Amino acid sequence: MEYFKSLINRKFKDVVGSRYKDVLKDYREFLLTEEEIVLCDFKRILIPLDIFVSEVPEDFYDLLTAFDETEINLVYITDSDVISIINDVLGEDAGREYQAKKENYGRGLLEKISGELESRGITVNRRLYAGRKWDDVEAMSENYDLVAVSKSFGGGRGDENEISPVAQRLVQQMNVSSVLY
Amino acid sequence: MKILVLLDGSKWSYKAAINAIEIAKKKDAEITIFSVIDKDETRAAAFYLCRQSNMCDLVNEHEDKIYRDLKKSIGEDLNELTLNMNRMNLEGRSKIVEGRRDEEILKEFESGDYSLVVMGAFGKRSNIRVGTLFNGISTAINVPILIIR
Repeated sequence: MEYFKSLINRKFKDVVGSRYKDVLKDYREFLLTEEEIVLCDFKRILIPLDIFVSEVPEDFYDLLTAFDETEINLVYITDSDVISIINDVLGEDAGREYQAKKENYGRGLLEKISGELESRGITVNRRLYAGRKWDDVEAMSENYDLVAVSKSFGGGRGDENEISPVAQRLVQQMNVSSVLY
Repeated sequence: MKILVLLDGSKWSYKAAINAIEIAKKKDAEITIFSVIDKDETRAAAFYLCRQSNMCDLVNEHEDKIYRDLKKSIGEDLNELTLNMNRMNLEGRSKIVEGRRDEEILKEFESGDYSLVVMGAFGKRSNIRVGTLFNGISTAINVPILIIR
């Protein structure tokens, strides 16, 4: 930390002198404090998945191996609002069938990604449930150091590189670091 | 692995760069710290200053001064970070260019065969969530983007 301390002194304390504390308080968004110049410790990582996520790029797996003693939680979410609409319009049997089909895909995806991660020595937990993708992931993110969101998560993309509105909003709103892949 | 780090003079991008260097160290990756001085921004800042200070006869001087200050400040950040990379024996380089930020970043990205882009969560106007830069580049970048908070 000696290097960072000298950096803070050179960059800020020497510049604003005796007003350092006041300036720090009033202009916090511009000044990087000693507490903030820290390496992020990505121990707990959340990867939300859904029917729209199919491929996870090799570069992303490669990045995850840079973090030490990481535990990854893979969470596959089926949209509960869509299930409710199908229940209301087509009946509960159709709703159950829809959910079963989506979750069948989800189990396969969880299996595939878990295998890739475990083969790289990363600890993985899996979960599958029906819920609200956007609200649930935003709420869950508070318990993680990093959230990795596919550009496809939540759907609604026009072309391969476009970012879904759900992925875009999550990256904008979450209070933790994120990876968009 | 080749990492492109976007440095814009904000504290968030500095924090992103420190973290990118750490990743590069662990992955034995090549790292480029890249910064764009956008003259449109310095023009806008100078004009705002002239309106606020009622000294619009000095607007060109303000623009030059803001430009020089910004370049100096980013240059200092780059020097610090390069020094840090050298200490760690990392293969890295830093680069400052002038132009439109989005265009220059994408030009660098496309020419560099990068496998990871690292950026800060907020720009210099930190009240804007995930700086406007993100919207301009994220769809065109087809490798993971790590956004540090």
